[in-house]
Amino acid sequence: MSLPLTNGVVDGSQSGFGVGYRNRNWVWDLQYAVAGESSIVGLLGGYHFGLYSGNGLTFGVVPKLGLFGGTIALGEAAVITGKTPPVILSEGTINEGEAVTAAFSGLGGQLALMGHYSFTEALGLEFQLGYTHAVLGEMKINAGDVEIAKDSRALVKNDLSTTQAGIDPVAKSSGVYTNVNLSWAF
Amino acid sequence: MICFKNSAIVFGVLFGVLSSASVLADRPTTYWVIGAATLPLSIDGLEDIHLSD
Repeated sequence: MSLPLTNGVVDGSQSGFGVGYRNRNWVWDLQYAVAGESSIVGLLGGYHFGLYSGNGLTFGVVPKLGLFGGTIALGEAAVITGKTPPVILSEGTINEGEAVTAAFSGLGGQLALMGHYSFTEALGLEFQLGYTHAVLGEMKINAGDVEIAKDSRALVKNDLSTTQAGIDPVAKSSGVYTNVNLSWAF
Repeated sequence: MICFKNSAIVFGVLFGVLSSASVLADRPTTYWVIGAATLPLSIDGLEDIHLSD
């Protein structure tokens, strides 16, 4: 069976949406971004240190810590010409057409410049520009419901040999992030 | 242990400096936000491989 893992290779900034809750100086954010077949979500909490306030505009620094996770849809397991499915492993049985996915999770943090402008007592605009860094740990690869360890002897190179594939997938979320939000006060 | 201690000291100093510099916010006390976000993501080390029993 062939597993098209290179479909999951991505590198760059992904777009999505964010929702959040602000209570006094405490900041809670849920951020979700997707690009192609991969997605990442972050759930973070932090504290707003105000540096400027006046004329409806506030500006501050917000360090945040939280959890990150994500998934990648890698395609489908395909039969190699001359071979007969399914592939039966100690981990489980994998059939032709099974969805191949990968998942990752870990801890991370963000350091942001945050601004907020109040249009009215209720409505405002908030922005964040910052740096995010998350250590996402070891990636898990699944074919259907079967989880396959990266060092499993069932994973072999695609040259029809029995040499263990030797893959070492790594997911990272490090770099600049942005949020532009409408705010609504109650 | 030393690294943890140093990190704790740096964090404590940073917290203290920011706290002392912090000004009262001229913004609503409690509010919700919704909008657009970007996040960086890189995934590497994947190859097209075979699955064999």
